Amino acid sequence: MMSDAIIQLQALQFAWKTDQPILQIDELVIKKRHKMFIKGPSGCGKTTLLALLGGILKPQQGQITILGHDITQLSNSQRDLFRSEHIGFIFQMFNLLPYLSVLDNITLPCRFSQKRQQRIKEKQATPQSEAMQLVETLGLPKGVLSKPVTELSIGQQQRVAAARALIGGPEIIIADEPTSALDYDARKSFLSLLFEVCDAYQATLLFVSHDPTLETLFDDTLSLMDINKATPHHFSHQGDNQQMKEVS
Amino acid sequence: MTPTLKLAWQSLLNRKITALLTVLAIAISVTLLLGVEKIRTETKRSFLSTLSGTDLVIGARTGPVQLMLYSVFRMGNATNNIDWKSYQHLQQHPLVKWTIPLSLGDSHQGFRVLGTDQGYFTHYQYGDHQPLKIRQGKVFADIFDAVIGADVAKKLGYSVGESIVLAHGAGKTSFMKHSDKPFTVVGILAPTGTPVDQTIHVSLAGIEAIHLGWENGVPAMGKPRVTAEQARQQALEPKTITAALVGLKSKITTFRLQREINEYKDEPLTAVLPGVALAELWSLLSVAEHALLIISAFVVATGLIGMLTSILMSLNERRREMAILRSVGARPVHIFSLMMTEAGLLATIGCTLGVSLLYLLMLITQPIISNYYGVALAITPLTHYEWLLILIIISSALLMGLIPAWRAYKNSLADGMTIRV
Repeated sequence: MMSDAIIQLQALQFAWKTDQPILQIDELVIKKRHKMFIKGPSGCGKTTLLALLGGILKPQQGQITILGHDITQLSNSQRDLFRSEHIGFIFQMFNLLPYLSVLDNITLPCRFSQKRQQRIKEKQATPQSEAMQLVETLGLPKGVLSKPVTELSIGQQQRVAAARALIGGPEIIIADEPTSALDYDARKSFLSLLFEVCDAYQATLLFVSHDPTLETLFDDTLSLMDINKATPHHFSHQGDNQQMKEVS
Repeated sequence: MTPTLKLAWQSLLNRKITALLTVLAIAISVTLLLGVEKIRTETKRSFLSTLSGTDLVIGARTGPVQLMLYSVFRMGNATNNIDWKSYQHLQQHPLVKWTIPLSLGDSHQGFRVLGTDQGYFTHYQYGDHQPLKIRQGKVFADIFDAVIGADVAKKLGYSVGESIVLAHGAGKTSFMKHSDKPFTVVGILAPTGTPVDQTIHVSLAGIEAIHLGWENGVPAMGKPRVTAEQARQQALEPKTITAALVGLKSKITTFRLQREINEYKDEPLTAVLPGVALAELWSLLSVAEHALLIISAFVVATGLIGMLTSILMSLNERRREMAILRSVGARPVHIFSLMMTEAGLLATIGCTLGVSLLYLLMLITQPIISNYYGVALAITPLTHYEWLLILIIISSALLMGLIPAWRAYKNSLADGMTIRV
């Protein structure tokens, strides 16, 4: 019985080149509303795993069951739709659109997802009012909404990115090293705010980082090195742009 | 579509300078294309309306284009004249309402001198049946009176009362001058935008008077010169004229009279329909007109290629933007339509600006043109053909937009949500 599982991977295998798998996971279960810390050295396949969970990439073998749907059975556009409805992303720095205001950045996912709009409507709110509430919960001053994002500090930008990931209540939040550009105190305060909103929205959080000091703050830790059966020496060097980012 | 439209717009605003330059390049090329098109149709209109209200132009046996050139445009010389008796016969023809005699051959400072009668000022029409207007002074009455066209008055700085000496022949410098019989400017015509502006009009009797005592185009040897006063005493009926303009009582009889004149027994004559001859003449000039249109079409192509370049160049620096959009739920289709919308926006704004620029230019130049050339530049709404041109431009822009849109689409598939720094 896996009723409290939100994500399940089974016999997963992914390779850029057919004979060199870079990700091979027999089984992985992530529980609902858990805050999962995913660690691993550079190039161990963290970003590839996130791309697979987000439906950007499709595995050669295995199943990825999210919220009861095997997303490997979906078409490309269905996976895109599924991602936009159920998963919110937070990346490293610079993941806001510089030409939109803070408010427009936060409400951006609502432009592409009917489901997120619908969930907001069910709460008898509007994307604007929800954005305002998120900004408040994340401890940003109210006046920030009308500002261009370029006037914000990096710490503020990451909180705006968190608000954007959470708007419309997706069940899963995937954060890919969102704190790497912040100092220690800022990291901790960002994390506690992130936990707070994830709790408020009953979202499951997958947090990728190679900063071991944060590990203890999470419910669970997943060491990708331990569960990835693919040998790390097989990392492709050409054509694998996904790896470049982890080095940077 | 609305979210992509708004996004494309905001994204373009973020790249204001490049976007503005692209729009400007398209706008200027559109202005040029439509401007050339306007000038083309306006010149054609103005050219074809050099002469109106006249049903037949009659001269000695020659080609229609030739006849129009020397009688209406006052270019070149007639090879032969019409006998005065033939003209009189024509005057009395039952189908004819009015006639205007035209006698050419003399000049003043390079401007042609036209011998005619008062009928010229009442019956001659140009444009949309506009009659000639005297701007200053009056129509000639005396033998040695002259009425000058607007350009003549402006270029030579003449006003009413000026005394002028006519020269024999059409050249700018002539050694044969009728200096013994000077003319007086009594009237100046309003500008018409036709060759009338470059003509000096005198009476047929005046032309006759200055050639008294001349033989074979030179003063007769051994004979005493005839003075102006002596000339006034003589009968000054011309023996020949160069051409004649004819107005008919009924237009239906045009072809009948034309045939009759072409078959005239006493003298070989040619009668042409001015509209037909003008159109024939215009077709000779239309090579230049087409060349102009082709050049401006290339300018538009350059503008659009500029747009393509700027969008393609922006693609790489916008990979981050695309990845962010993908991460918040934009599907590759959205990225594709975003790029297409951008091309469409640039082209549409460019065309709108170009058309506005054209009308602004027309508004500014209209009074200047009507003042200098007497041509009333018609500021009319865009014609079907011009709308079609605009439609073609926007469609080509969208067609070109497919290239960056497709590349962005492929990029976004390959990059996914990976943000490249």
